[in-house]
Amino acid sequence: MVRKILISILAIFLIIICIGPLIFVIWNSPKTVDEYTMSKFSMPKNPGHYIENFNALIDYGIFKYMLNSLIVVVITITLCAIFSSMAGYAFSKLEFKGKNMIFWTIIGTLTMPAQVFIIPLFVMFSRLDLINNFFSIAVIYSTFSFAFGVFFMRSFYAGIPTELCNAAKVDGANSFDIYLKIMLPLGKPAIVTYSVLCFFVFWNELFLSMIFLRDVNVRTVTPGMAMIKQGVTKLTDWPLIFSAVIPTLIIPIAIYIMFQNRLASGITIGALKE
Amino acid sequence: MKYNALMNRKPTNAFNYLYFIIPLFLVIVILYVPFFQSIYYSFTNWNGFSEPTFVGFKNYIFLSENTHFINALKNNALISLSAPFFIIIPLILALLLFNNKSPLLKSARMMLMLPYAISMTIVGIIFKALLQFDGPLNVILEKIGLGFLAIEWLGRPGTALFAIIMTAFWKEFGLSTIIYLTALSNINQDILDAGRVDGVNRFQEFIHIILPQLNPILVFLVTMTLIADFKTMFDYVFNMTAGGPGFATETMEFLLYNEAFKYSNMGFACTIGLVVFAIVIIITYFLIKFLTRRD
Repeated sequence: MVRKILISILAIFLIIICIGPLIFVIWNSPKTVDEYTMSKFSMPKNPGHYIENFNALIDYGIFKYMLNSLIVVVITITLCAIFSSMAGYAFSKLEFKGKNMIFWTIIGTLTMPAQVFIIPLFVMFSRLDLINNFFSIAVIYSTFSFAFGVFFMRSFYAGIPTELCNAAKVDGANSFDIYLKIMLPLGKPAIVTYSVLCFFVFWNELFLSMIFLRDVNVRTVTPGMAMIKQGVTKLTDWPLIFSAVIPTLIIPIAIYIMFQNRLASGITIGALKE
Repeated sequence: MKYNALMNRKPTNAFNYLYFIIPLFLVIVILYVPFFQSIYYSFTNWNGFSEPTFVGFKNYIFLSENTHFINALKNNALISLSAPFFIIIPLILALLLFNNKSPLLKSARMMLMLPYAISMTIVGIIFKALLQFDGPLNVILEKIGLGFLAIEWLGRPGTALFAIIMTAFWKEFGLSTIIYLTALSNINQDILDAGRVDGVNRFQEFIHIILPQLNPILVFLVTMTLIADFKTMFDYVFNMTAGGPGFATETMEFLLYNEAFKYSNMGFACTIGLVVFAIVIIITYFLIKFLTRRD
């Protein structure tokens, strides 16, 4: 019984630690600078002030940044899902020369941090005039995640019995029919999990986005927030920054709530499939 | 459909390559080619626009004598030293919360992973606000009579790095706890029952039954934490301190970013990137070797 109570206290403590900072942000976003300076925990005197902060944000371009992020992430996920599932299928169910070598060439990039290729890549892309382009950053993002995606999809398809493919082959289906009509529908849950993981990685990405999307018109939400913060903190208008944080969290938190059960298992699949 | 007809006539292997030709091509052009170029450029003096001039090992020698780099290396080492906390505290939490069926725990589970959904940039910005001198953390500390602890967390060389590590911990610990909980629920209950019948106590049970089965997860988390330490601290440093105060929180990837995109020392930046990569690979290799050794 004592143990039960202690564990409950621990659980409550963890909940407070995890959502406390977020509640603080929401609580203080409708305040004015003076109000926030005076007291961090008092009731906001005029919740309507949030509208004022909100209007200021439109000028800062936060919604345009969110739209840009959405475009980049959707292109990225589409590329990732199509190519990783096809490659995962090929590596798990088809036979061809050099299979292992090609597989490890792709998987080997898992260990590469962006720092080891970013500079020549940036120079190459700026010479080809591919900077400030949604499609080129989406291609870089998806290439960056192929290693995980191919591994993930291969592990999933490896669990589907090969007899299924053989039966279809006997009925005269070719390998692409098998992919399209059997493997792709069966692979849907894995593709969704992988897409959700990609969403979080690339919606939140800062380093590459800052380097490859330099123009303010194509800036995505993460660098956008960093720039807004740098512009605003000189005036120490923390409530304004809090107001900016709230809309940027709506999409990720909605996706998190929808798919939270898939996340932990998705992230650890590599470790558990050993 | 054209390719169907083609396939039915001649089911060769060549068709199979089409399934991965695009990812393979992209991986080679976007990752491998620049990686090898990086190695070449690390031996040159290059600003990214003019022709690079070959300088031999000059960049590497300069790096080993560069106080900035040594300082950044020291900061990265300090961050890495915090890795055990990122791995052990979630394990303790998972062991405490495991097998507990109260509804409270269900909501705790949901909240624990919430920080995973938030970008490091936003987490950095929020914690920068919380850690201000007149920020809420210090207000709370004063209210509960610990006013002497209320300091300028991000403005002091001694505490700024610690504050960044704590921020990273807030974002990471919940996910790790959930990963442990998932792994614990996969442990075969029969083995645990058999152990109980044989009269092992909780400590023995943990050391001899639970820990060996968690080994793959441990290897995974250790690797991820160490790689993350070197790769992702950039976001926090960039948003919380910009390397300051002084150079107290400058890390290697922050140094690389500044050298490359502020001062256009592309050759030297390539050198930094490769040295970081080499260090990560070596540490990870030995750790995995250590963790997966056969007794």
